Amino acid sequence: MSVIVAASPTAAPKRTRSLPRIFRSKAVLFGSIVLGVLILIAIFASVLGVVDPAAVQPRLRLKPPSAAAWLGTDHLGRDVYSRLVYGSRVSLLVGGVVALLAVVFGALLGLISGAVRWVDGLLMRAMDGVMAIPAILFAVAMIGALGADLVTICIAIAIPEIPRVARLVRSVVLTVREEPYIEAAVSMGTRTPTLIARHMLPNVLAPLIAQATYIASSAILIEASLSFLGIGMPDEVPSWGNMMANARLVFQVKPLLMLLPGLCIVLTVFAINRIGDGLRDLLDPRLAKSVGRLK
Amino acid sequence: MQVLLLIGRRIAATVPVLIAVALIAFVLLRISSGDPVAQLAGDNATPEAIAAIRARLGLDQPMIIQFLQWGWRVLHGDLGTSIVSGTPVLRLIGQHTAPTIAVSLMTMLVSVVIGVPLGVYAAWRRGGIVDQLTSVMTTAGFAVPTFAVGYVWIYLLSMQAGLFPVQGYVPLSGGVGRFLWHLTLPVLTLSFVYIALIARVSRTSLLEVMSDDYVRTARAKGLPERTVIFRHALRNAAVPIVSIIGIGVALLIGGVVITESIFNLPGLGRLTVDSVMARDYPVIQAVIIVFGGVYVLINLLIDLSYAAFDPRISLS
Repeated sequence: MSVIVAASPTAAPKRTRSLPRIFRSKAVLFGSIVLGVLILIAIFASVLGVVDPAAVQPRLRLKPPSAAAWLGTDHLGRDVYSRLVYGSRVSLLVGGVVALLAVVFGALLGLISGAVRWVDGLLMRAMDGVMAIPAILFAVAMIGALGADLVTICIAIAIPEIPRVARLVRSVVLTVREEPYIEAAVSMGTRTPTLIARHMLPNVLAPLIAQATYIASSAILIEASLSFLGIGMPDEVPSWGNMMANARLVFQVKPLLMLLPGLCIVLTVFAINRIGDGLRDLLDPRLAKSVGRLK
Repeated sequence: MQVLLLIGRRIAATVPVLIAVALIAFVLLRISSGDPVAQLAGDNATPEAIAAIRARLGLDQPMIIQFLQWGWRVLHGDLGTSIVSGTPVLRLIGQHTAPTIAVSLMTMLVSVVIGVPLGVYAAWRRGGIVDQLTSVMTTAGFAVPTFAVGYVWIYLLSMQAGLFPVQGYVPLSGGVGRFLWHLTLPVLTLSFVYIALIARVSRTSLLEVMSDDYVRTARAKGLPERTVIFRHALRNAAVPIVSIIGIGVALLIGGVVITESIFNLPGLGRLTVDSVMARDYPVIQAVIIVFGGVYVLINLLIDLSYAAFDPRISLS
């Protein structure tokens, strides 16, 4: 055991050195700045000149932008600007929580599947089964069964993402498993959990982070879609998806109410995808070369 | 004979996946809040009456027995009865398949017809204006939610230009022209992300083979560029393109749910959303099984088609 622990400090300085390198990628830098601003908006939503986003004012329905309501009001007279600002919370929270859930459970299943041979077949067939059900359909069905609250929505969106993560991790583990240092660790009598945590997990961290960004952006899109279908977050909680769902009713007269939250979603997802693309190019030099040839 | 045996083995390999799908659908129904027995028995039912109904429905059996019994019925085409309308679920699904198949097939057709040439051209004229536009479009395609695309089309082509109807569906029996006219906006909406996906994969997989030796050989022996691309490069780049179409089926089905809701098409997606709103569990369960089955079937066909595209891949 002590030998394995002693081996880890050599890995530490390498990780800190690679951090600035990541931000040298324009895509990652752009995405991180936009995402950073969005996160700040979500955290400090209450001090950004907002009024109560749920305050219904029937006499002020569908007003154009003014000094009182910077971006006008919706079909119930609620302040659009305030709802947009608060809406960032739902999207970012769902994106972050789903990515975390999917990565943690996917990695766990993938590591077990790759390292313990007898569960591999069973686990992978189960994963195939989950993958055969379209993500939105699964989420719709699960929310239909359990009702819509933030926890259920996050779990419902996360479960269909787990197989992809598990497969990714498993494939890395299967390649790594043949490496001499694994053989060495096994011959020294390292137990399987230690083997997984100390020797296999570090190898999958980098591709996992790239995968996590794509999961986050797809989760944001799915959450918005669920709200749009009318089975997402309840209407009292402002989210970009249910703002768009409400805007359907008045789309013919006020397309702006649809456009603004739509743009917020696009910007957020685009920023996260840029981070993912940048990371993927850094991780896979072969792919980066073919992208680089573009210039 | 050998080939038939191998195809049979491939088909057999889908069985565990289908069982997993069925198990997920079964469990989803079981975890749902609300006891179906209590609903059936009414407010004033005695505990004995509830127990009797429970026994009649087989709900007093162990979970695994219940699953097997239910699975047996599903295998015999009995997907249960809608709680809301009392219609057998299978008939309900039959009534809603036509619009979904129409939209999906058209979308697939449009996406392949536009996406593949776009990707091929982008790879061929690498760095050119088409390549750059495709790159922008594919990046956008993945960031814009399907429903937002739908409303952009409605705004531009329906409200401003007045070219297409905002909503609705006309069956094929109502005339081919009207059928296609009503399908245009849904297909444009759904194919947006799909074209992006196919164009991107076509581009990268063609770029990959373009630097291979046989492409250089083909060029060196003086073949025209068109022959090099279509006969030598594209043929070899076909497998990733075909496989992304398979992966995209899940994306497509998910998109259908949303597209049908935007354009008010009476398809399976609409049926799903309506069933969720009405908590009509047997229907939700059946739709999952149907869509899961379709996904598995299409990917099986694609698996088998690899050998046709690339003789180096055997079916074993």
